[in-house]
Amino acid sequence: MLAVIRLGEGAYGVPVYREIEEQTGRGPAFGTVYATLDRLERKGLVRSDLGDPTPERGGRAKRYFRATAKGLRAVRQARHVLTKLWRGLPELEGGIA
Amino acid sequence: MKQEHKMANWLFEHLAVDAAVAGDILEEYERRRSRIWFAKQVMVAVCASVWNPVRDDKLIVLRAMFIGWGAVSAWSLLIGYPWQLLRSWPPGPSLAPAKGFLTLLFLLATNAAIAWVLARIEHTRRAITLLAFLIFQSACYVYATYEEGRRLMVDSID
Repeated sequence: MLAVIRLGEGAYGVPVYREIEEQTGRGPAFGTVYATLDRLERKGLVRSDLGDPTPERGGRAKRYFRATAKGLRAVRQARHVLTKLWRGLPELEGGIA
Repeated sequence: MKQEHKMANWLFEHLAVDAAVAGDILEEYERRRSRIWFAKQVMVAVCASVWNPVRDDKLIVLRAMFIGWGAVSAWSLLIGYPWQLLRSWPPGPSLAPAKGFLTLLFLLATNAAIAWVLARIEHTRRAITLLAFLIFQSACYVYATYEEGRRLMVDSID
């Protein structure tokens, strides 16, 4: 979800995959990326549109994803909850070490 | 086109892998990814395309088994008895291996025909339907073979 928001207009499978790989150091499988995005779409958190087919993709179209207003609200809510959970944990204050 | 592209395209088309997923895998593979990476991506995409319809519609497996069972029963009624008569001719044990081979061929042809019918009926979710049918049929054959073996063992003891 965050990768889709970060990428904005150009969020289709390959950039989403690269974004996750760059941020986490591990590349997920495209099958799992799409399974997750499909679930988010069913919940109304993202929507998708088909682009034009290209020859390097064997004539297959790209599927672009965009976060919906409901999706953005859900991400803000999740951040709010996480911030509250992180607060007041003295063991985890003072940097990574 | 590379050999692995051909194989992957065949799998993508026959196992109804989402076109966007297939295109993304091919596009990223062109960016100097390894063959192991490619094989892993294709396998996960194929597994997801088989599993996702089950997650969305749990009844699909039951439907596949029911249609498969119905088709097998109808086929047995129409062809099974004449085939049994044909198998017992000519009498005598000398042709037993040939008969066994013919029976195996007949079973394979029967199941291929039923699988083809199933694939035509459930063409949008072909992969999971055929997989469910294959597992169900294999389980039936394993059970029947086990029962036959057990019966023979008991008879030989008596």
